[in-house]
Amino acid sequence: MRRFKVTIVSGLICILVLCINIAYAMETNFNGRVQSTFVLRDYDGFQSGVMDEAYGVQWRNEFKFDLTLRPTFERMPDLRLDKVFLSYRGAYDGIFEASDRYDDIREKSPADFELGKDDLEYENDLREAFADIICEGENQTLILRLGRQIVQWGEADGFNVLNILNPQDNRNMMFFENPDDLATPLWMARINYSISNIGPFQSLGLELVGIPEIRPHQFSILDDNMNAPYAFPYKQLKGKDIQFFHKLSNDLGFTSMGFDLGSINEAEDLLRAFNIPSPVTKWKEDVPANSFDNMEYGVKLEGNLGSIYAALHYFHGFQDDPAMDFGEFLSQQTLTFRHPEQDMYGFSFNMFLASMNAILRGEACMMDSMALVDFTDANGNAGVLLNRLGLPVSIPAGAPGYVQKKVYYGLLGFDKDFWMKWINPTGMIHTMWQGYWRHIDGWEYDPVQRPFDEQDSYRLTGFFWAEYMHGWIHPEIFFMYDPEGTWMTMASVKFSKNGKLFFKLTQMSFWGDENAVSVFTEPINLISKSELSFRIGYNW
Amino acid sequence: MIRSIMGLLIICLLVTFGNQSAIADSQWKEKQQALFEKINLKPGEMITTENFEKIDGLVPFSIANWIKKGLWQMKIGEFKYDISHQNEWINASKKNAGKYQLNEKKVIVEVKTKKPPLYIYGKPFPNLDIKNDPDGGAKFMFNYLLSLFRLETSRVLCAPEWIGKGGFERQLETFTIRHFFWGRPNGAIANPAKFRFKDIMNVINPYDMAGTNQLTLRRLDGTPDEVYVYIPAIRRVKRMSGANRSDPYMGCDMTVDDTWGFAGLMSSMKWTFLEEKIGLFCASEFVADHPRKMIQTSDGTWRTQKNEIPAILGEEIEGWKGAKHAFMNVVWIPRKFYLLEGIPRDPYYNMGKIVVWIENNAHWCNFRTDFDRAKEYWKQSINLPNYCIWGNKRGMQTAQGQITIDEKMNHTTYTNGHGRRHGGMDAFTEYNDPKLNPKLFTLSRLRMWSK
Repeated sequence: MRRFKVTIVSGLICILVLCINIAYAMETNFNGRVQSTFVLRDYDGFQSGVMDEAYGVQWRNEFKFDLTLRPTFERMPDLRLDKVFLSYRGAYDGIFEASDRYDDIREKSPADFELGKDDLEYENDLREAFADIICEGENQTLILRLGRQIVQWGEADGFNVLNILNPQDNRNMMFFENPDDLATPLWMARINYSISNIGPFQSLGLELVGIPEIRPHQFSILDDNMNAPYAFPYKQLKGKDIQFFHKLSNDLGFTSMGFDLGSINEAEDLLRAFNIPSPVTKWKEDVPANSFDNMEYGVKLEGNLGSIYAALHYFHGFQDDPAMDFGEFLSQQTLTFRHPEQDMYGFSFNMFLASMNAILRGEACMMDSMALVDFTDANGNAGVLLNRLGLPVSIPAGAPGYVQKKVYYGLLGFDKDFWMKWINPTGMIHTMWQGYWRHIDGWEYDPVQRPFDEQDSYRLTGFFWAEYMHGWIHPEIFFMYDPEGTWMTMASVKFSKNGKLFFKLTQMSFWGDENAVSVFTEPINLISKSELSFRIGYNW
Repeated sequence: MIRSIMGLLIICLLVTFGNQSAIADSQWKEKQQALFEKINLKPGEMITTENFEKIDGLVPFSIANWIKKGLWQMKIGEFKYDISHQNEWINASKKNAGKYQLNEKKVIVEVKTKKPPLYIYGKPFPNLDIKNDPDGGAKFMFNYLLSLFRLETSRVLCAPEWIGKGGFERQLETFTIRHFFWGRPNGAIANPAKFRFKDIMNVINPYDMAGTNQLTLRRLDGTPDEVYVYIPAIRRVKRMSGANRSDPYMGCDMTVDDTWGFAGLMSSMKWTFLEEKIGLFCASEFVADHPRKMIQTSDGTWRTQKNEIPAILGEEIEGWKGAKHAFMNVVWIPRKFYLLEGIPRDPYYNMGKIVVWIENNAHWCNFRTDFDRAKEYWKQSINLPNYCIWGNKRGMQTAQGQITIDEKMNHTTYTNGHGRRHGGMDAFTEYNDPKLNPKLFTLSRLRMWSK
């Protein structure tokens, strides 16, 4: 990885030196924002009464800027440095000074992918730093983008079906933040080649991506207490009632001894009862090392034929979402988050439907290997536990608690603007609808062994927005409905008169049947978590 | 002998270049004077609430109302030069007689092949009998369109400003690049995908909108525009409907199709010629007095000079009691206009009707009145021209500024295309930039243009 960074930086310096002879000036563009957010969280969810168990916290104070440098040329050379882009984000979270509530969050640890309390308190990150080098031919163009960057694939809003290149960053932000802010930039090399007017195609493009930096989906600090803001979903997982544990307790006779291991917390209690040292569960990230050998890579082939755009995608990488390995759970009280290799084969398209004045878009993919929680072969853990408790039993060591399955995803989107004069007399209401489907190959739902996923799952989303008062007021509404009987909603309104100073009020809430097997309830029940946030900021 | 040869050469050069950029209408001054006499106004005369009836019918009804109410004042002025296109363009137009017609979709096609022409130079319908030709309105709009397509490429840095009851509210900084396939003075270029033009509108500032790029691909066959928007927050290109070009641009009172008066798809409107009449043409005092001489850079690009005087609006003048949106450094000059009505064929278009006032010599759309889907009066736009001279070419091609007043919402957007206002960027225009090649206007380039 270090070699990669050194190569990129040296290359950029060489190109910059070369360009000095050709370019006579640099066009610069510098803009950014400062913003501060206050969050009011309802700890039992709006469904159980709006703000009846509310808890307020002054969130992050954030500073972010983008700097773009573009050499200007007297005569445009075919090979040139097109731009250099830098994006910086700094943040300070005053809650750590103002309250002792978070004092016991742990410092940097490999288990958290070197994320520590100070990373939540302060952020000082050159998020993106890349350069574009362009080579132009008669009707073809090649762009090389080198450096730390974000690449988003696909046509979906609110889902990451094909969009799996940059992992998500949920250290201190939940859903519905700007996707740009939620993505973790990675060091990568990206090559875009495009050729115009070839055969029946208006244009054809090829994108190649090589990513030597391996990072997982980043959660907040999952330490002993999981007190860090936005670690709460996993804190809840520790207390979650898992049928498999009940069955295991029963099979092993713990239930008759008065111990029912229904959850991780209860397993810890059992160990305490037997005076086993350090019974607190540890959470550990096991991420493949950054290296050329482990390099993730992808290719996208895209084309325009008339008014239809279509692309084929392939990506080889490591699963960003964790595969929860229970292999050392009962023996070492360690839950390991693994990131197995996977290949994605995908397709995306969009087209304009003139007769309906609408856009039809979609994407689909097959993930050859997706890790899913399956306790079928995890019984072996029990033997380890019984041995630790001093009971002489011999049960073979178990599987990790997850299996890797082939998974198919599909999404179809329909975007259409409507006149609804009673809502907005001067402009259309913009609407975006999506249907999502996931199918797990060779899978059968089982409340005990495979409790978190159904073989087929569906979701429907709607996103609506409009502009009022000449763009001063910008409301948005989003919902995601799961036919299992759960849904989430987001509604926000942003106000800015001068385009610089802005205020934004957002609500995010989850609703429905808490016992449903749905993305909002399994493995973490989000229905009991709703929040209201207020943000003030300044753009320049 | 040498002196004679040199003299002959000089005469030849003068004839060659003089002919190309020669004043097209040697009688322009007399004609202008005759118009003054017809409407009984004089240069320097002020029109206010006291004498507003003098301009009755000479400007769109909304503007006349502003004068009547004392919201605006009008200074009568004159052009101090001929605003025609250069002779070479006018002669090229004459050669197009009989070459083109409109098909059943009101798309321009060659008479011979019945196919849309890959290239046109000059007005396609030079001998148009607009009053008697059933397609007169649509054909005139193509003449207007071609007259604005003589740039090969253009790059316009401009700054839309929001102006409310209290004055200036906010400003965007943007640039637009365009590549034209018709009207290119140096002849046709390869156009295998059969485009009329391609353009990209890019937002530079402020931060939350910066990097938003909108690509429009307009085809020759009149099919709906292909519109793509790169949204930096999601790092993706979103496909949009062509009718989105009639939506408010970034929430302001203008739409993308308001550019040049009307920059929409010609065949998407049913055009009807209403009347020919004398009207008062609105131009900045500077433009009325001088053509703007562009400067050529080493790569052949023509550029307007930087830091020029921008339009001044009432919101900037202390003590001004009229409307914040009133132009303060413009003059109103008698010219002949064609008035046309456009009714959108597309039921999703944001307007129900537009009426344009196009000066019939320079082909400049000076006024545009918008009506909503219920055909009720909604917005009035005034498009201030730049009369530019670039090399041996001249004409009104791009705007010095454009104002749109939404009278339902009592709100205004002024897009400044010249000089610096409210501490924003220095707006300017470039023509013929060879760097703006068609390869820039592709989806993959759109995706990599900003972050």
